[in-house]
Amino acid sequence: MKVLEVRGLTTRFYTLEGVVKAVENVSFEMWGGKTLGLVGESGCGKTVTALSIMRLIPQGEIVSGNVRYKGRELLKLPEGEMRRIRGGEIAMIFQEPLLSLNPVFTIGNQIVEAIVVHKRTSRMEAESFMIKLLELVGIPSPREMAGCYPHQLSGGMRQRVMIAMAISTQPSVLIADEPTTALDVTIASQILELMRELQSKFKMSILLITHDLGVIAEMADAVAVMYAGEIVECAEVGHLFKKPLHPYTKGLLECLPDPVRRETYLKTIPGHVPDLRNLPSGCNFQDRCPYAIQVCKEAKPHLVDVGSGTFVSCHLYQEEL
Amino acid sequence: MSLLSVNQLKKYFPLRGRFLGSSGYIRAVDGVSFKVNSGETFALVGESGSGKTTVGFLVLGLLRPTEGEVYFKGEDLFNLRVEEMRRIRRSMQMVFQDPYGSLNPRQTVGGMLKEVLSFHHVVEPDLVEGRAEEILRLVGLKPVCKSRYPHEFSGGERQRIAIARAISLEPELIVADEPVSALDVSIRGQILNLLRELQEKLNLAYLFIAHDLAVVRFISQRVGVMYLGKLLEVADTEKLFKKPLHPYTKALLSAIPIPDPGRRKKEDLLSGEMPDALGKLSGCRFSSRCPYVREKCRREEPPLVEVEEDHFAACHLIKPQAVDSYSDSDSR
Repeated sequence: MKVLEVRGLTTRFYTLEGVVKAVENVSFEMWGGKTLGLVGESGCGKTVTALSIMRLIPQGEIVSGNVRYKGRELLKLPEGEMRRIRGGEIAMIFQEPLLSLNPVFTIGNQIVEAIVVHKRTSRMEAESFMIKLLELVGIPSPREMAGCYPHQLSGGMRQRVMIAMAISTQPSVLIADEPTTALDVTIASQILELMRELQSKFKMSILLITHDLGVIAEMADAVAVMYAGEIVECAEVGHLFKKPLHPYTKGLLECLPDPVRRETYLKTIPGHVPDLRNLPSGCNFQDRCPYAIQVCKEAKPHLVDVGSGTFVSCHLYQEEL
Repeated sequence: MSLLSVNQLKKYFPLRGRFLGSSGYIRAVDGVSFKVNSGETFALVGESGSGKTTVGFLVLGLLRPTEGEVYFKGEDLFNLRVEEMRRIRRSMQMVFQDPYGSLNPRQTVGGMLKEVLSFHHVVEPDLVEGRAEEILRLVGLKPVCKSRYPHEFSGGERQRIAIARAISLEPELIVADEPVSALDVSIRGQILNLLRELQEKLNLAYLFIAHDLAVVRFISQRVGVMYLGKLLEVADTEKLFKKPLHPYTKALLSAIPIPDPGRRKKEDLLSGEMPDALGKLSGCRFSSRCPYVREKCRREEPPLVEVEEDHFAACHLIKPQAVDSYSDSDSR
C-alpha cells in the first residue's frame, strides 16, 4: 500500500546572500512496511526534504509540491490537524538524540507526555505503556531507567529512548535522519537491527536518511540518491548497487574503500558540490561528471523511467527515449 | 630502530568527586605498547572512549603520562629539556578531525604557513614566500589560495590546509586523529589519496587514529585495536582483516555495514556497550560483552602475546602457536 507520496516538492530559503534552492522538484513514494533510503552528501537536501514533509520549515518556504499521506494532502492541512499527524502518524528520530531530548525531564516523563498528548490516555496507563516500550527497544531494567535524565544515558541508549518515543504512537511512517551516524559501529548495528525488528512488528514505512551507503545496503528496499537538492536516481536497492546509472551514483559507489578488498588508490569524484545559491544552468553535476556533453550545460535533465522501477535524471539516458 | 616506540603507556585522569576530594580515576590509557617504523602507517582503531586520542596526545608530548615511556628516534620524550622538546616537536606534527576548529579564522593561509616557516627557521627569510607556495602545491591547492581565509574553503580544502601546515616543518611523524571522518564520501577519498602520496614523497610515518575500518584498511600497514584503554590485537592490516583473532575484532569487523545488498547479514551482533573506564576493572576488559566469556576471563587479565608471527592478541581463548610473549608484556 502506498503510504506517502511526495510530488514535485520544492523548498527554498531566502538569505541575504541569495535564494538557497535546498530541495528542488523532489518526488518519491513510500510503501507500507518498506524502507526508502535517502542518500547523499552533506548539504544535498536530505534533511530539508524530511522537514518539509513534517512542515517544519520555519525559516524557509515550501514553494510547491504535494505531500500525500494516506490520501490526505499534508501541505494544505490546517496546523491543528498537522500537529496530530506530526509525531503521531509520522514520527521522526534524529542524529543526535541528546539535542532532541529535554535535559531537565526524566526520559520516562518525556515518553509519557508523548503518549498522553497523542493517545489521550490517562497518565497511569501511559506509564505502564512507557515501561513496555522501553523494554521493547531493549533498555535493560526499564523501571529504573525511566527515572534517568538524558545525560545519564549513553548515546546508544538515548537513541533507543528516541525510538521508543517515536513508536509510542504506532506511526505508519518513521523518518530516521542519520540515526546511527553519531554512534560507534557495534552500537550502530544494534540500533539498525532494532529498527528492522520494530518495522516487521508494526509494519512501519521507514524513510532512512543517511550518507552511508553501507547502511543503505543493509536496510533499504529502495533508494533515492540526492545531489544538490535534487533526486538524481531512484531504484530498487539491488539494482542501484549492481548497476548504478547516474554518473554521480557510480562515482559515489566507486569512492568507497572496499572493506573486503584492498586497493592501492581510491577513486574520487573531482571538484566539489555546487553552491545551492548559485546553481549552474543545465545539470547540477556537469562540472564533476566524466561523461558531460554539450547538452548537460544547456538543459536540465528530468527524472525519467528507464524500466524495472529505476528512475534517473541524466541526459545520457534521456536520449534513448 | 623504530621511529616511535611506546612502552607501557598509562594515563589516568583524576576524577573530581561530587563534593570534595578525588573519587578515583578514568583509566583512559592503561598500559599500551606499540612501535611505528619510519615511513609506515600504524592505525589505532576503536570505539569512542577507547583511549585512541589520548594515546595521540601522549605520543606528541601534549599530555604527560601517568606511567610509561615514549621514545622518538631513541630519545625519551618525557625526560627532555624544554628546548630539546621544541626541537623534536618539529619532527612530529598533528592533523585533527575538524580542520575548521584547528585553523585560525583571522589568518590567511599564506600568513599561517609563513609564520610557521619563519618561526622555526625552516628556510632563509627570502625563500619563505616561495616555500609556502610550494607546500600548497604539494597538497593540491593553487598558490593563489595563500591570500584567502579558512572560511573561504570547503571542508576538504581546509583539511588540505591543515595537512599543509603539518608538513611545512618537514616532520617524520604525523599523528592524524580522525582526519577524514568529518568529510563526505566523495571528498574523503581525495584526502586519503593525498595522505598516501605525501607519505611516499616525504617518507612520512603516520599514527592514524580512526574508527572507520574501511579507511584503516586502505591507509595502514599495521593496525592496533583498542578497547577501554588497552590494545586487544595488533597485526598487519591484511592479516587482521583476513583473519581476526580477538572476539572483539571479529565483532567489530562484522558490524561494518557493507555496501552490497547481496551480502546483507543477520549474524550475531555484539550485545551491550563498552563499560566506562572508571573504578577497578578486573579481568579481561572485553569480558562484559564477549560471547565466548569464561570464568577465567572475569578473574585474570590476558596479556598481549604473539600468537603468530607479528600478530598479537590479548585473549585467554587464543592458543599461541609460538609462545614467546610480547616484549614487556601486559602482565602486572
